[in-house]
Amino acid sequence: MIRMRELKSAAVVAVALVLLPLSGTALAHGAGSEQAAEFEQHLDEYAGEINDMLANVSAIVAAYEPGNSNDEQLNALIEQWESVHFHEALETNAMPLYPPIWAALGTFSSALKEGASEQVVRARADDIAAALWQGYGGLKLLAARQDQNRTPRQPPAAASGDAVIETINSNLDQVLTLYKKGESDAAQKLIYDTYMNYFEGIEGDLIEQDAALVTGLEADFNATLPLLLKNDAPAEEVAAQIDAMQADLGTARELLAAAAEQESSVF
Amino acid sequence: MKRRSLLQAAAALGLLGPLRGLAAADTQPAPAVDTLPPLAGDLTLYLGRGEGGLYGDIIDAIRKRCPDLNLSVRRAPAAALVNTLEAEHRHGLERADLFWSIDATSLGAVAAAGLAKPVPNDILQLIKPAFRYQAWAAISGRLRTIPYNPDRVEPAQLPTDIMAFANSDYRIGWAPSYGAFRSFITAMRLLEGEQRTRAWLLGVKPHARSYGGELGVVMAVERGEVDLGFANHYYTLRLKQGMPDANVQLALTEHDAGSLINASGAVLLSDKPLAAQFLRYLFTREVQSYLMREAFEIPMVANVEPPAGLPTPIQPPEIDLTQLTDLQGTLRLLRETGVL
Repeated sequence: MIRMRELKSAAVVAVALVLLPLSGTALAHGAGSEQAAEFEQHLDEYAGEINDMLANVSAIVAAYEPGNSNDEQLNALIEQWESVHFHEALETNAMPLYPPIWAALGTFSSALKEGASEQVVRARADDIAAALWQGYGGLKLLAARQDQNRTPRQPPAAASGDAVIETINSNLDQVLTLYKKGESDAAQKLIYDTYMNYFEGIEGDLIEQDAALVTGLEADFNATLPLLLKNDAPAEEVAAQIDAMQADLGTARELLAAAAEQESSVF
Repeated sequence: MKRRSLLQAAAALGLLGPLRGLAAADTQPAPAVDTLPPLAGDLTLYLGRGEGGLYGDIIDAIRKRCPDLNLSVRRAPAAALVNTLEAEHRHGLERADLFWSIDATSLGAVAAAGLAKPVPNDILQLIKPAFRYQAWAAISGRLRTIPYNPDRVEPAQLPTDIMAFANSDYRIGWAPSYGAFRSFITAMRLLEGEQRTRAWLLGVKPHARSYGGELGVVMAVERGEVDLGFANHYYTLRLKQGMPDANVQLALTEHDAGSLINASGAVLLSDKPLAAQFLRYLFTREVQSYLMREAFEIPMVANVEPPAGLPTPIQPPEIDLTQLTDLQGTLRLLRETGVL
């Protein structure tokens, strides 16, 4: 019997210890997929995935008899772990909590294959549950911190130019909102992060289409807009600057779409 | 440890005019895709991200060409996939047949973990000799360069020794948070040692300006905001594509980290013949041309020309790319010197 509540409580302690050095580590690995990058919006889904996995673990344990390792169900469990969104979210955002899950699956698998006692198999199943909930707790804690810090979402690695520009526009709107609320430092950080995490990713393609447009937007992100905020410019002036940048980004969107249509084929 | 001669490395790139014949003689020409059999069966590929979707386009094209190929692709940051591969191996749960990454460092880490299967000889023969490794196949290259503003810099006076920039008066642009810059510094540590690299960072820092990325460095050079910079070659080529009269030229240093050629590549992880067959597709003329055409990457096969606009001669350092794994040491040095 897997004791979910006890395991979740134990996981909180473990997560608190592991996460001390975690937040920086997570982002240092770079962006994950769109889903993984927006992990904080999918926590309920991850909990469901974990419960589904643990139901299958319980089924394997219930059917277990020493000498019958049930390879088919075991392989299905590994496949399930490979395919759940929680897997990538954890791997991308909270790497220190990721290997223990593999370790738990590995020892569970060994116990089954070695014909271990039912008691040992149940203990190994509990280890899987503990490792999964520990990972989940890590993501929850990171999500809470991201919200506190207003860290912009990481960009999807292979997102279309259109999707990236959509996000840049949304972040620029948020810059204005923050500035109007008097949160100038947070607004400055968002400008910087948006440039680094989003605009920087598309400017290589864009510069081949219109170098002057990129030069102008580079100056806007790195000088014009930050300086307006630094000099406590009127909100209307900041809004006008953001409007101008969004107009240029609209041009960029069209150029990137046209370039994508003209891209040569591989074969 | 694999070592190569400087001459061989330069010749192998096909960029030393008189030695081109030698490179061609040592290398089998890349086949046309039509000469390869269609791929069929199940294959699992782990794909390290960071190439702007270009590898995804190649995968899509291979899938379209080979409808009987059941290809599972797992995309994640290369560093994360290295951890996954090691974890899967440690617990006897290997899934991947192939690992393809833009980053030689991650390929080296997988090889160092003992997970790599030898690259078949017929594939090695397609690769320029300087970039032949038993444990992984180099697919395309990226060259470190010195973009400079010709209005501000007299090219004849530019140092040909990267270490000399620490003692110059040039205003320099760099992007210390960029992965390519860190590989460059890692190479410098290997070639020059910790103390000289520390001195170099401290020497350049007072007259350096930091940028978020290396395209930003090249654009700053073009604007005249800095006199010169340190950046991968393709940023300047891309800028010149959009702005043919851009006020920026490329220079190279000689036999040091300033002219490092890093490579993307792939590791075979299983003995499944389909994995090696998939790898052969990446060395077709068509794929190699596509990488050169769309991303200005330097082809690793002899019969596809490098992108136009590169200076010659290219004289890269003698270094094993799989040694560039100690990024933590580089990060520590960048922090200790206040560069980061």
